[in-house]
Amino acid sequence: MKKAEWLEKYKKTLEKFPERKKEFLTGSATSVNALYTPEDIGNKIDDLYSDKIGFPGEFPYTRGVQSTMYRGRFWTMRQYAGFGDAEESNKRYHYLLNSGQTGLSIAFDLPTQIGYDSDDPVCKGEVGKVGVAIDSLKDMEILFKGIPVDKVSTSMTINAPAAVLLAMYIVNAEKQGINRKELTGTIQNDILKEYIARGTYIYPPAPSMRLITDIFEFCSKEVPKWNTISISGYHIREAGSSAAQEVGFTLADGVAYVDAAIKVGLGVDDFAPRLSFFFNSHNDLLEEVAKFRAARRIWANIMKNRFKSKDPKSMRTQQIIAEESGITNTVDPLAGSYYVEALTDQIEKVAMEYIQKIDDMGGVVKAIERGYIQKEIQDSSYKYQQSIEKKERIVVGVNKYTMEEKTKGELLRVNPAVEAKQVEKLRSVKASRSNKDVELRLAKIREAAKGNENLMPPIIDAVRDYATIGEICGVMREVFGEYKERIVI
Amino acid sequence: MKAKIRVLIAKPGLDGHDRGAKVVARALRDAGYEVIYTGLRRTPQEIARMALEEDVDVVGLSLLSGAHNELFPAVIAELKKTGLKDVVVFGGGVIPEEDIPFLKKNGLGAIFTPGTPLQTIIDFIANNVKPR
Amino acid sequence: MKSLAEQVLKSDLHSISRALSTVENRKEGYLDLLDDLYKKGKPSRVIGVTGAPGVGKSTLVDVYINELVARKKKVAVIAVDPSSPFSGGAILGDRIRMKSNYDNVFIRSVATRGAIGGVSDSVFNMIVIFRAAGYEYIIIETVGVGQNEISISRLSDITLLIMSPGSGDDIQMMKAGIMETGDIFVINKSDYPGADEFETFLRSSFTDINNKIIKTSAKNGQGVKELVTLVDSIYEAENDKIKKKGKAILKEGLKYLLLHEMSQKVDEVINHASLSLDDIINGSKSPYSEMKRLLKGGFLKW
Repeated sequence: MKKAEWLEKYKKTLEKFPERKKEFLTGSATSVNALYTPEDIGNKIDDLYSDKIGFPGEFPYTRGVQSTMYRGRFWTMRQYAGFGDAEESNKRYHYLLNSGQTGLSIAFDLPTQIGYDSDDPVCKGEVGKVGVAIDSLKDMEILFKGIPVDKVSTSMTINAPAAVLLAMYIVNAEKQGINRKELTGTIQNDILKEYIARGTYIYPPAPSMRLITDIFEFCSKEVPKWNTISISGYHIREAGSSAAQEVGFTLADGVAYVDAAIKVGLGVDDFAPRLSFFFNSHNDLLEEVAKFRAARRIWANIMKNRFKSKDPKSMRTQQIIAEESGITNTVDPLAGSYYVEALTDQIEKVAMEYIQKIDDMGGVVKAIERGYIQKEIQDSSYKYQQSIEKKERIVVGVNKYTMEEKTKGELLRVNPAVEAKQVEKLRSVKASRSNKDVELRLAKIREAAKGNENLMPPIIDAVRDYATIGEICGVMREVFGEYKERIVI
Repeated sequence: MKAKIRVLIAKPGLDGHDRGAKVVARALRDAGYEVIYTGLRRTPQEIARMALEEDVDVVGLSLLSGAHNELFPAVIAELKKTGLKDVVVFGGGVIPEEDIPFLKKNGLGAIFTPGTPLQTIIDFIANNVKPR
Repeated sequence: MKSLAEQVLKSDLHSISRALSTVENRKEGYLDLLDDLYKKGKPSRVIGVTGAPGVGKSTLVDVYINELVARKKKVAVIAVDPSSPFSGGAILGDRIRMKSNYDNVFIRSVATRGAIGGVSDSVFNMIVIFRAAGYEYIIIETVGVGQNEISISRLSDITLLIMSPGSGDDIQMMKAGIMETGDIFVINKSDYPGADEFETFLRSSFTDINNKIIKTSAKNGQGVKELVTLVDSIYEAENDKIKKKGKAILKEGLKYLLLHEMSQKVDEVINHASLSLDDIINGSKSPYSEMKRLLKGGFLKW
């Protein structure tokens, strides 16, 4: 492809998806084009450029997923929110939507994330702290009271019990008179990174993968606009990995999910468009740019060559980019920089080596069982910490230019009464529902879990009759067992 | 023969973030201590039981979920119940400055908030553990 | 020490724990404590568990403990991990996979502390403490391929060598002569492909192991009841063999006790005033003549 050809395509795209502004200008009011290539500095576009770097919106997507990228629009900006009980969070969501947010991002508390009811003794002190406490459909109804879920897109950061929360979301919409086929949103639903970096798992890998593919299958037919997974590198990076590890391990996870889905008979082009990725935006700007470019390129190649996707649309990513620096005035501004291109290639190489190594071990699940991924991350993490202690790496305010004065921020204190309130709510829900029906629904889940049928329909039925998350996840705990972490230090 | 200092690094509650706990465990190992790491999701009773069996000198509690005001004192209470009154206990994680006095009043010898150099923790142990 | 001994005999957990530390750190009077408790020890079964990393040892030990608890037994576990040769510290993580909040289970993590033979020379002494406290089963668990396995097997009545199909470490172990240390070969993760082939391979490579291979799947709880029963049956059916091993264990234990005392003395002698390194350097004496002189010189007194 030459630039002229790309520009033709680009103009067509603009007819459907216009740019943010009529004109993009530098700080000194010079006009900025949509895209710059070697041709803009008097060079030719050769095969090396075409094959490895290419054009935005074109395979291998090194320069961007879409042709317009941030000239077209910014990503949906969401504020991760949720705390205390559903009433408080609902108020917060109304506030955020009224301030112009176009989507919601739900944070759940740890008991909910791990499939426990708020009255379980292991939850002491944890209820409502890191997110909102959801024990049953009743809480979900309160959480979304007055929020039109056919118009608002919702991202739920939920993994191990994602099926249950999605079921609650669907049934709540149903009660609002909204057809599930209209629902838009995401569930994070990435269990592999839980074993690797985040720690909120419930079941062992095999049944967890089964739950995930059940969700893929169910949603592809019933909730087609829903993004069923957000394959995450964010947490892996936060756990201390390097940029190349973040890419390598996240894409290896992606491979594992696609493999699992294909194994249960799903067509790669049926669910692949709904796969999204969630990466970190770390400190070293140029390395991060190279990282995203490498990740896009690797995934495009994997989808095309390994999974034979007919339409290898690259990954859709969520991250936050600065608004005022002018970086978003042109697409992939750092392309062509010797450093950035070399760094992109380097990260791609190292990430691919990790993916290969994991393949050789038999896949991500085996690698996790051996503790390989966890060890790599911990080694990076420890090295990083040592470099800070030895002042080889400076973190301003931490090991250099520290201040004695304490900054007093405003703390949000979760009302400790939330826990007691939630316990009371649970009691009341259990008293006002048909416990006989709930027993039957739970039995159906137990049966389905032991067999092969898709778990979503029986979970939806149980949720509708106000079975609690602890009860539903508890039944699955009986059948699937619990994951025991492999300690690697 | 000089006794080795034994440290229990524990993760009470449901919090799954173990990067800090593992980095601290490694650093303490490199400083010559024997470190027993409890793994995730430990109840206060389990932590006290482990401290008892391992006859540790120090217990370090790591928590980032905001449940420290409930769980740290609960661990201290269990330690006392088990008869381990001389064990030094420190904490770390996401803990607001203003909560530290309360925690100290409830038996925590120190709280190490994010950014604390590892050497500070190593020194704290060396200075506060009485040789056997 | 006397009151500590009394409390240990009464199975007071805190006292047991402190006694273990006392012997591990060789605190003043520890030998008297051990001497006292040795005489009052109750019979127990010492089972060694070894195997390469990743074969599922800790998970298996956990299920083994559960089974023993179900049979109303008191179980102690000594989990051994290597000390860092650089810092002398250690990270002891074996116990995490074992459930320890049973009243009649006691799990203790032990670092090798640079001991001769790879395993802590305190293990023998700790077994004495656990015996006195009435633990009917004492499981010694260690990871690694090499010295640890051999040392553990020498201190145990029966050694379980845990393997898993396709781990690839079996070749390593055969090279290191580890296989000979196992009384029972446990093929864990038997639900994985290759388990049957692996069993065939083992039976064909080692002639004397017909009834001593057992397949388990710790995470599915399969085969463990049979393993526990098999171990117990060896005590019942092969009592002579156990007695013979018991003697060998005592010898091994004594060896460690003596080695420790001697190494202290060696440290003293090396630093003895009469040793002239300068003489060795200038050639008028050699290390060998000095060694002979020191051995004969009566400096080694105890």
